[in-house]
Parts: sequence; structure tokens; C-alpha cells
Amino acid sequence: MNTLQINNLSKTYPNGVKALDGINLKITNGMFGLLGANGAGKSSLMRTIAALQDASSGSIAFNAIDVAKQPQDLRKQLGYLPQEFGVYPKVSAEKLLNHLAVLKGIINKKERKTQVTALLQQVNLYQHRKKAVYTFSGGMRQRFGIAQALLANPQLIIVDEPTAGLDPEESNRFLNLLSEIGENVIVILSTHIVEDVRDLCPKMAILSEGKIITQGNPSELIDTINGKIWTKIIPKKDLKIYQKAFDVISTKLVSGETQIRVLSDERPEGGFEAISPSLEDFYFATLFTNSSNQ
Amino acid sequence: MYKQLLQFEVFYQLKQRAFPIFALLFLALGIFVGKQGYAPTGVNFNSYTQVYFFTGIFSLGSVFIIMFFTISAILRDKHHKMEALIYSAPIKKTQYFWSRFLGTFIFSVLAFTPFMLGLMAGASFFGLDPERLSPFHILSYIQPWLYLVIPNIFICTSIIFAVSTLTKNNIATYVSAVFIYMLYMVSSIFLNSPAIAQSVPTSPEGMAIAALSDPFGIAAFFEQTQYWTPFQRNTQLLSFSGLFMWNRLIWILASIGVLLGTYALFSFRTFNKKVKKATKLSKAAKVNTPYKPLVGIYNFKAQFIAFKALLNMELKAVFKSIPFVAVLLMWLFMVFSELSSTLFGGGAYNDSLHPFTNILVEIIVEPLITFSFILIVFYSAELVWKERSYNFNSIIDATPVSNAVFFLSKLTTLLALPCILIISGIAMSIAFQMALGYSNFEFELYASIFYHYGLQLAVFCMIALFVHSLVKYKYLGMGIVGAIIVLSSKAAMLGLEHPLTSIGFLPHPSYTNMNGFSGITKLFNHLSLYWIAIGGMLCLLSFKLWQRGIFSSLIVQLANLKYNWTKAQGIAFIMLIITSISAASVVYYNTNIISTYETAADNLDYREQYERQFKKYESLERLYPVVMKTEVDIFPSEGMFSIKGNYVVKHKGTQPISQVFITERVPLQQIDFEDARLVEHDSVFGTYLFEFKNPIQPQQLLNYSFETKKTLKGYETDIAIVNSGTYINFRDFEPFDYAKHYEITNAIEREKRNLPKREVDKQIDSHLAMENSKYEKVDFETVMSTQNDQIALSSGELVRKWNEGDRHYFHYKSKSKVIPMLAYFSAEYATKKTNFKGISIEQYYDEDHYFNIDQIEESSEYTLDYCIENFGAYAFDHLRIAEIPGHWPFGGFAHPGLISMVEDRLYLTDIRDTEAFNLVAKRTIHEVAHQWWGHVLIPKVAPGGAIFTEGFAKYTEAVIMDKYYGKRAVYQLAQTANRRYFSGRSYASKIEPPLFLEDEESYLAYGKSYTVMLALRDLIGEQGLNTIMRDLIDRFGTSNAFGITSTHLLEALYAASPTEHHVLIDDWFKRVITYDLGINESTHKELANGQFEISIKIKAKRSQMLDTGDTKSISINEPIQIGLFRKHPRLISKDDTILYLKPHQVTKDGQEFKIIVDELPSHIAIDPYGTRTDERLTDNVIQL
Repeated sequence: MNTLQINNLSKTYPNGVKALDGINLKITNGMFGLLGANGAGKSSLMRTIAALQDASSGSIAFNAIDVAKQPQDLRKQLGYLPQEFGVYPKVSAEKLLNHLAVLKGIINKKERKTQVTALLQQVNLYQHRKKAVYTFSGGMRQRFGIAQALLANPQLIIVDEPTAGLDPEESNRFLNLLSEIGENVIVILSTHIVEDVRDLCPKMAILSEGKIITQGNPSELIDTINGKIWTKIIPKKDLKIYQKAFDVISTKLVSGETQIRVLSDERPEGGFEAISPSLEDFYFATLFTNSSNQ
Repeated sequence: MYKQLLQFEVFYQLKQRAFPIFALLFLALGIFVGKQGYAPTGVNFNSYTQVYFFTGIFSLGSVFIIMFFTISAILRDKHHKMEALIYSAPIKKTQYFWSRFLGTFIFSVLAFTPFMLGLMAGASFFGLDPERLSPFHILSYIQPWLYLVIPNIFICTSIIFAVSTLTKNNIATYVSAVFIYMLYMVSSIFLNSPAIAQSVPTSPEGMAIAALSDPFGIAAFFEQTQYWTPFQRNTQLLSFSGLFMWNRLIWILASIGVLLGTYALFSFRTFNKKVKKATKLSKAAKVNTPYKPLVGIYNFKAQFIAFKALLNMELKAVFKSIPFVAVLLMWLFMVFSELSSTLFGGGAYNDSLHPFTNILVEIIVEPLITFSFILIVFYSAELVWKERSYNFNSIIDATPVSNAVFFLSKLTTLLALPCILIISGIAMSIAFQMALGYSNFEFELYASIFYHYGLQLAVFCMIALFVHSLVKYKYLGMGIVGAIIVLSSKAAMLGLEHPLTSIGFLPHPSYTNMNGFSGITKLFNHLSLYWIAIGGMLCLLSFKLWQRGIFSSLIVQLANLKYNWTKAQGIAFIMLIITSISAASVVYYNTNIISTYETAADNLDYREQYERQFKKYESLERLYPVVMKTEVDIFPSEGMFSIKGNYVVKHKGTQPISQVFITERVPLQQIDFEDARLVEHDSVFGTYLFEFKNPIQPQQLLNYSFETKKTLKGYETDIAIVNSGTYINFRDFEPFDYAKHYEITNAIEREKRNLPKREVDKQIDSHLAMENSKYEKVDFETVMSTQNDQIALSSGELVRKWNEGDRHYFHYKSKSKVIPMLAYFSAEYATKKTNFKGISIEQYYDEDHYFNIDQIEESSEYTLDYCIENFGAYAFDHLRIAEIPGHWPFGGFAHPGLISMVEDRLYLTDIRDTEAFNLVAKRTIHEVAHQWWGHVLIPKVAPGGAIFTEGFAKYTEAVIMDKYYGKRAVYQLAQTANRRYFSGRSYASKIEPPLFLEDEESYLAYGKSYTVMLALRDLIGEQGLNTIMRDLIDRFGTSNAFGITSTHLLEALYAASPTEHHVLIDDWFKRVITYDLGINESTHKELANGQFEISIKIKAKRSQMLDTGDTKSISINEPIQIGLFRKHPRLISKDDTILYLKPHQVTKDGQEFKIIVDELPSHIAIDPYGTRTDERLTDNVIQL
């Protein structure tokens, strides 16, 4: 069983932005979803765990490895897909993956070839293996990124916004692969797409403004707001009034009409219907509560 | 719209901090250059040509500005990913293109122009010697600004802008900048411009090519002004004509063409152009290989495999990059042109050299350093920043490859770049050697390039990577690396002149075939160990500091340095520290403790002190030897010699003297004058003051003895005493009186130190001049000893030679008196002796240098023959010719009966091409002729003396070469003599005197005196002239004293020629007159009898230089040869007959002649064999 222990981790950038603020997390084998809006600090946290960025204070330990002091040991166990990345020009997917496999310590040529082939097939790039990754479309490149993150035998896989730019089918395939692997290793999935977390992750945390504002099992978390989410279709012009009157956590257009969701222990007023909350509702409710508490 | 775009461009560029920085930088540079007070002697610091020169050279620097502005103008959209926005905005292509071009151009001009202001200020306000300043003329700055700055910036901007626009690639942009430099460098090599100084003058054709091909117009500027006298340089503006004008026009038009072409090719949609080919995907049945995790291995082997993979990746990327290929091609082109221009007729006489490896190595290492620096500066940044610039770093940095492996792969790639240059240079050199049928490749000598040059480059690579591992901005890092490289070569200016303080001081041991590597090798070995250890430390620190992922602040980075030291790293670091400290101690010990370390300032202090203390003895009379007996013991391998002298000296003054003052040259062990006591001795300066018991009367003789010993200490080297090829001249050891040459010469430095103004000292240049006219011929005897395997040589008959212990002894004694220009040789010589009419011609040479031995013998015989017949008996029964190593900077030197010849100027000259000029014959004849001209006929040391030594020797060269090799040899001699004259006078420090008052001007001695002697031969006839010369020998050659002056020659010439020629003789000897001769046009018609009438219209102008340095045209009336040839006169060999060659009285410019000949000539010429000083000899001949 792998354990990732994050203690009181903070990061302040030289320009004064506080990207991470006293983060405490303990993560064990399985998929862990890190949910947060853009700019919440997800990538900073991911990079810090991947030993690509130093923290201002606090510590990260993976099993017995102190990440700040033994980055090299961590890297031996790490698979990392950054949020965005480029590649060398004029190098084919197969060659580049092979190259990275060498760097990840797979020195047996035959084994390396097998794994590279397997990964290319898994991410559906096998038929494009001779093409330069440089010329790939966004989705293809993302799939390449996933493939490289799985090279060797990573015990800690960090994937930062992996499904951005993937079509639903690709996205599905990828997430299935991840969950398969995730049984025996830690997979940290950072995303702003709520469904991904709901479908895959037995554990999750929500990051906002550099802080973990909640964490737990998705279904259990949803249960905490069971019966508290109400919905109503309103005229668009009335939105302001509703927002003043109630705790509107989200607004959606449904078939061209404005649908609001309100967090409330009881029915706020006539016309509101109770719905069984989704993880998305929980996410918005948490963000809402968090911001109104400040 | 234009207006707004341009306004935005202005706004944008102004907001870049670069503009004010560049402007300030160039202002500072201008001031710095201006206040340096640099100009050839005689030329004012702020003269027209100097301002042109500086403006031209520093306009090279504008390329950096342009590069920067171009990148920020063109590539900023790409860098900031604005392309799509900009290109889809409603801007027209015209507007976009021209506004950005104009922005770049205008800002580059604005950023460079402060240089001119700085130059003005520097010359005006920094206390330069006012005597060397011309009055301020705004035109002298405006004209170069208009002719050089504006066009150069326009040309460079066009090219760089075009490349940048079309490629949208940083490196391609740099390369275009480097390419422009390369054009300049290649043309300056053709031109041998002073910027890349070489002594060999260029052919007019080569110069024309260079003048046109240099995009900066500098070569064209040099071409126009090459023969200008200092007077002209101070007073004359450049004229916008000739090659200079064509250069400017061609390059500006070409630039406009480039711009228009770029405009046509440029498209907003370029970046989308790559339409992806719809590759048919093979829908082959999916083989499903299941994914299985594989445990990675992280041992040493795995790291090594990772290293290989990374290295492979890096190298492939570099080799595939167009910039590298471009630099490599330029390098090969450079090496090729340098090698071919040197090996095939590249010498002063268009002579060729045998392709000895050391010569080729010398040729290729020169550009090697420059090219390597370019590669190191650019590629160190590119390599370190590669992953970041592709945004691939977050993936690659997360892999478990250690910093060391990343670092080493980058370092190895960087090191490979200079290595590739070296290897390709060597390959090309070997190809040249093979093509020339040379097979002694001396691979170890080639390999030494890696050590002697590669090592320094390697340390620079390490420094560069260290800088980039600390600095977090790519271009800042690049700038710092560039600055380190530049400053390290100028470190002395920062007060870091100790060898330990700057990598730039790593000496490059020179190599001569005869002696091997120079003595500086020892210092090199120690210093290189020191630098490699420091480089190693930097490497260790670099990969400890290697940045992965997001940069941390420098403080954090340095704090992290503490962690993760493995034991091996720790030990290595400590070892490196120990190594560097020990190497540094050894260097320090040898430089500062064993020998006295002297900075430039210390040296000036020393000289000042000497002058202050001993100037009072300058007036003391010197005593001159009449008998010289020496014992010379040479220990070549120990770098030591000791010389005991037993002289009889004579007081040649008119008043009795009671004191004599001596300054040692080499530490004196003992010194003694008969009947004198030492009254003053200073061991710091090595001075001795003797007082005689009884005053010495005029003409009185007395004994004088001394013993000196030279031992090379520490890193001291001395070209006089080397392993093989020791050559100790009388000037190298004999004590002298007051050493006037110690005095500080720089006027400003003297003023700073409150020393009185110094009267201008004559420069001893002509190599036969004795230091003082009171010398006379002496009786000479020496006993020399050297190590067993070497032969020791000096003047005089060999009395006896014997072995004693491990020493080889030689006893020489001269039968007759000789002039006291004596030297002592010792080397492992091969010998060849032959007896020619009772004279033993003995050659002593390095056994590998046998190529020209027969030729030297033959030429010696020809010369002895001719001279004995025409000028009288030879003084000795032997003629020794001995080789000395190539580190001696002259061609040869005639001692009594013994000639020293320099290896690469005689023995390594390739004369296999019998059609080419025979330089070996020329040099041999010249030095053998000195046995008469300088050894029998010895001029008084007075103005005009060099006519008898150099003028007569060059004349002898010409007549003998004419006799045995035909007119074509004379043609070449005339070309070289004329070039020597015109280029010499253009750098002369004072106004040219007439020939008969020649005063150590080598351009008169070797240049003009040749043309005058040959003109006299045409006027009086060879026999007539020889008779005059022989009469002079008979009159003056018998006395011991040196008596003849140029007036005696003039008298003899008047006596032997009709009165009407006296004016002409005076024109040549007593006035400074130059000619401009040429054939303007020529027609011909066939006569009824089958003969041809050739009509020739000539150009015949003369101008005279006045005492002021100004020139005026004067009339002409003299006989000048006109010739009709069947081939070009430069090709006429001994066996060819000339159709017609006779003197005609030339009386005016544009004069016409009609000549009737039997057949139609192919070439018509006036003064074909250059007997007049004429800047352009090429137009003397036209082809019909």
C-alpha cells in the first residue's frame, strides 16, 4: 500500500500570490480526484508533488521518501502528465516514447518495445506511431502524454487535467485505463470536470484558492446535501432577485430557460422542486458555502 | 493606418528596455574608442580615415542591435502566441510588413548613432595629444554616417529581417547575422585588412573581389585608401567612386531586392500552410498488446544508457539544425579558402609553401577560435533551454534521470561542436596535403589542436553551462557568456593580467618544424590543469544547481546545493579543489617566485627608474671592439648558454675619457676593463660604471672581458636558445652602454610620470644597419661547445672540432677582419657541402627540410659566379648557410661568410611549380649578395646607407634572376617592390624623404631603391652600372671603417652618364616622385609589306610630393621602355623572345607612338617590368 502524505504545504510565489495555503492530505492507493476551478492551485499542487517545484513551507512524503530532499527517489516511482506540454519537433511518437522509456529506466530493449507498443495501442495512437508528435492534434498529443505517464511502473501517477481536449470516447477509454491501473497505485486526477471524479474516484478533495475545502468519498459527500438542493426555472431577468433572496449555487440554461439551484434546508418557496443532488451540486454548494463564509 | 502601425511600432520598441540600453552602450563604446587615441603613426586620431575606420569596424556591432530589434519585431507575435490574432486582424500585408521593417531599421540607426557622438566626444574631451588631433570637422563624422552607417544598417536589416520573416526562427535569425559577419571576414582575409592583420600584401584582383563582397564596405574603404600617405589620411575625404561606390550600390540594390523578394514570399497565412497530408491510416487488425507495468532499473548502467539516449537525441537535433549546418559550411569554406590562399601562391611573391602539418594547423586554428565561440555562445543557451523552449521540460524533468546525466549529455553535445570543427578542419587539411603529394601527416600534431586549443574551448563550454544553470533568462545568460568570452581576452584591461586570473591567458604553444613546440608548453600544461580543475568544479556545481521544473529563486537554489552530495561527488569536488590549488601554486611559484613577475605598470616603473637613474651616463663614450674572442657554451636542452668574451676595444672619440658605463643584457657573471675599477654597480638594473686609472686617449686600445650566462627560469622562453635551432645573435648577449630603448616612448605616459619630452628615436629597421657608425671590422675567433648531437656554427674558418665528454667543440677563427655582426648557431643539422671554384658551399639544415637544398646550392653558385665576376673577390673560402626555426620574423640574415635562413621562408617553400616565381632562388641570391653589399661595401650609418645594402642586393637579385629565369621573375620582383613601397609609405610615421636621404624607411630600402636601381640599369646599362658598383667596392671596400654614403654613389652616377640625364637621376634620388603610367589605347594596321604598324597612346603622369606631404603634378621627359609581346610580360621566361622592347622618350601624357613590327603582338606595355614607382602596375599592360 502506497501512501502520500502532505503536511501543511504552502507556496507563495515571488509576486505575492499564495498558490497553496496549508494543505494537508493523505492519499492511498486508488484514484484520487482533485477538483477545483481554474486557478485554484491544482497545477501548483501537482507540480509540487511531482518535485518540479519547491514549496515555501510544509512537506510531502511518498511512502518513506521526502519529496523535497529526495526528488530523485520520487521520480523513480512517478508518472506525470502535465497540464500542457510540448515536444521536440521531428521526432515520431514511437521514438519519443521509446526515448522516454529509456529515461525511465527500462533498459531491456525487448521489454521496452513491448511496453511502448502496448501503451500506443492503449491510447489509440498505434497507427500514428510514425508521425511526429509535434504535428499531433490536441487530443492526440494528450493521449501521448498519458502513454508516457504510464511508462515503467509508476506507483504515483499524477495527471493534471488529462481529459481536456479529448472527445468523450477517448476520454472514457483513458479513464477506464486509469482506474484499472489505479487499483494498486495512487492516481491523482486533477480536473475541473466533476463527472470524471464522480465516475472514477473513491476519494476526492476540493481545492479552492489554494486550500482544501473538503474531502471524502464522493457519494458520502453528496449524501451530506441530500434533500437540500432545490431547483426552479425562472425568467432570466429575475436572476438577481433570486440570488439576493436565496443561496443560488448554480445557474444553468436548460432548453433556453434559466434553471437555478438553491441550497436550502427546506423548500425555499413555491415552485422549487427538490432534486437528488449530484456531485456537481455538491461541488457548487461547497464552493458557495466556502466563499460566503469568508 | 500606416501611421498608427508605425506609431505602435515606435511605442513598442521604445518600451523595450533594449533601446536605451543599446544607445547608451554604443555611446559608451564610441567614447571609449574615441579617447583611446589609436591611429597609425603620423595619422591624427580623429582624421577622416580613422573616423571611417572606427565607424566601419564598429558598424559590425550594429548587427546585434538589428538582430534584437528584428526578433522583437517579427518573432514577438510568435513568441507571445499572437500570430493568429495579428494575422486575422484587418491589417494589410503591406502595412504590416513595411511598418515593422521601418521600425526595425529606424531604431537600429537610432541605437547605433550615439556611437558617432561618442567618437566625437571621445576625441575632443579626453585630453588626447593635441598635436595628433585634426581640427574638428562635422563632415568627418557625417560622411561615414551617410556612407557606412545608414547603408550598413539598411543592408543588415534587410537580410536579417528577411530571414526572420521567412523562417520565424530565432536561430536562423542569428545565423543570418553570423553569415553577414562571415562575408566580412572572408573579404578581409582576401584583403588582409589591418583588422585581421597579416603581412602579406594582396593582389589587386583579390582586393577588388574583397572590396565588392564585403557587405560593410570596410574592405572597399581599405581598398580606396590603402596607399594613402598620412598626409592624405588627415586631409582627404573619401570619394564616392570606384569600388567603394560600386560596393555601396550593389549591396543596397541587393538588399532592396531581398526585401522585395521577402515581401512577395511572405504571407500572413504561412503558419497554416503546412497542410497535413491525409495519410491513409492502415486499418490493420489491431494487435492488442496488453499493458503491463515494468519495473525500471536505476543503476549506473541504466544511467549510462539514458546518457547515450539523451546524447543521441541532442546531437541529432543539433546536426539536423540548419544553423549548425550553416556554421559548419561557413567554417569549411573559410578553412578551404584560407588553406588554398596560403598554400597556392599566398606569399608576398605569390610563392607557395610545402604543406607541413604545423603550417596547416596554424592556418586553421585562427578561425577555429572565432567559430567555436559563436557555437558556444549560441548553442550553450539553446541546449540548456531546449526542453523549456519546447515546453517539454515538465515531462522530461519528471523522469528519474539524474541531473548529472542531463548535464553531461548537454556538456558533451556542446563539447562536440568545437570538436567537429577541429575534426573537419583536420580532414580538409589532410585532403590538401594529399592533393599536394605530401604524406608526412604528423597526426600527433593534428591531435595537439585538441589539447592546445580544444581544451580552452572546453573550459569555456563549462563556464557557459555554469552560467546558464544560474541565470534564469536565456538571453541574459547568452549575453553573460558572450561578455565573459570577450572580456577574458581583454582581461588585462580589467587589471587581471596574471596568467591565473583569466582563461584568456592560456597561451597557445607555437610549433616550428625544426624546434617542435615552443617553451611556453610548460606554462600551458600547468595552466590547463588549473583551468580544467576549475571547469570540473563548475560542472559539479552546475549539475547540482541544475533546474528542474519551475525555477526556484537563486537563494533556494543555493540552499539546495547542500543536499544530496554523494560520497563520490564530495571526493571529486575536493580532489578538484586540491588539483586547482596545486596547479595554481606551481604556476604562481614559477611566475612570481622563481622569476620576477612584472605587470605592465611594473615594467613602466622599471623603465622610468632606469631613465631617471642613468640618463646622466648617456653622454659617456662607448668603446668599440677591434678584436673579439669568445667562448660560447650552449646547453640547448637545459635552456642555458654562457658566453665569455675577451675583446680588445678602442676609444674612437676625440677627447680622453675616464669612465665607461655598461648595462647588462643577459646577467653578467663577471666584467672587467683593463686598468679600471668598478665604482658603481646596481644589481637591480644590472649596470656598471667603471673608472679608468688613467684617462683613455683617442685611438687607445685596451682589454675588455666579460662573462654572461643566460638560464631560462620558470616559464621564461627565449627564441635565441631552444632545443634545436639555437641562434644567438650579438644583440642577444653583448652588454651595452646606456640603454636608450628602455626609455618610455609613449608621450602621454611620459607626461604622467613627469618625464621630459623625448626626442624621436630612429627605428632600426633595415637589417644590416649597425647600431652605431663607429663600428669597424674586427678580428674574430671563437671556441664553441654544444651537446654532442648538435653542430655549433659561427663565422670564420673551422680550425678544429673535437668531442670532449658529452660535448661537441668547434673552434672558428676568421682569417681576415669581419664586420662584428656575429652569431652563434647550434642545432641537429644535416649537412651538404660542395666545392665551387675553391669556395666550400656548406649547408646546414633540418634533415626533413631537404626539398630546396639543391636549389639553394645552385643559386649560391650563380650568385658567387656573378658577383665575383662583376663585383670582385669573395672574402672567405667558405659560404655557410644554416637553417633557423620559423619563429624568427625575417627571411634571412647575412653574417660574415655565414647566412641564417628561416625554415618556413626558405626550406619549406614549395618551388616544384617551375612556372611560378622561384622564391628560394630569390632569397638565396639576396643573402649571398649581402656578402658584398654590407660585408665588403659597408655604408656609413647615415641617411641613404640602405641603398648600398638592400638596394644593391635587390638589384643583384633582379639581374641574376633575369639571367637564369627570365623576365617573368623580374616582373614579380617589381610587383612586390612597388607594393612594399606604396603600402609602406602609407603607414609611414613621417613624410617620405627622397631616396638618397633614406633614413631607416624599409619601404625605401626594399621598395623604391629596387625600382631606381632597375631604372638605372635601363638608363646606363647593366655593364655600366656594374662597373660603377665595382668601382665603389674598390674605393671603399678595402678599409676597415664604414665610409661610403649616398653622395658618393650620386657622384659616380653623374660621372658615368650624360649631363641631360642628371636631372632624371636627381628626380629618382633627390625628389619624391611617383608615376602613373599606362596604355590608354592602341590600334594597329597591317602594312603592304606584311608588317604591322602599332599605334599606342600612353598615359604618363608624374607627381611630386612636397616637403609638406602635399602632392602636385609635374611634367615628364624621360626614356621609358615600351614593349610589344607575344604573351603577357609576366609570363616571359628565359627562353621566350620579346617582339619589341625599347626605351622611348616620353614627354607628355597622352603621347602617341607608332611602332612597326613583323607580327601582331598580343600584349602592349609601357614600363612592363616596373622600373618606376607606380601604384597601379596592372594598367601598364593591355591585351590587344
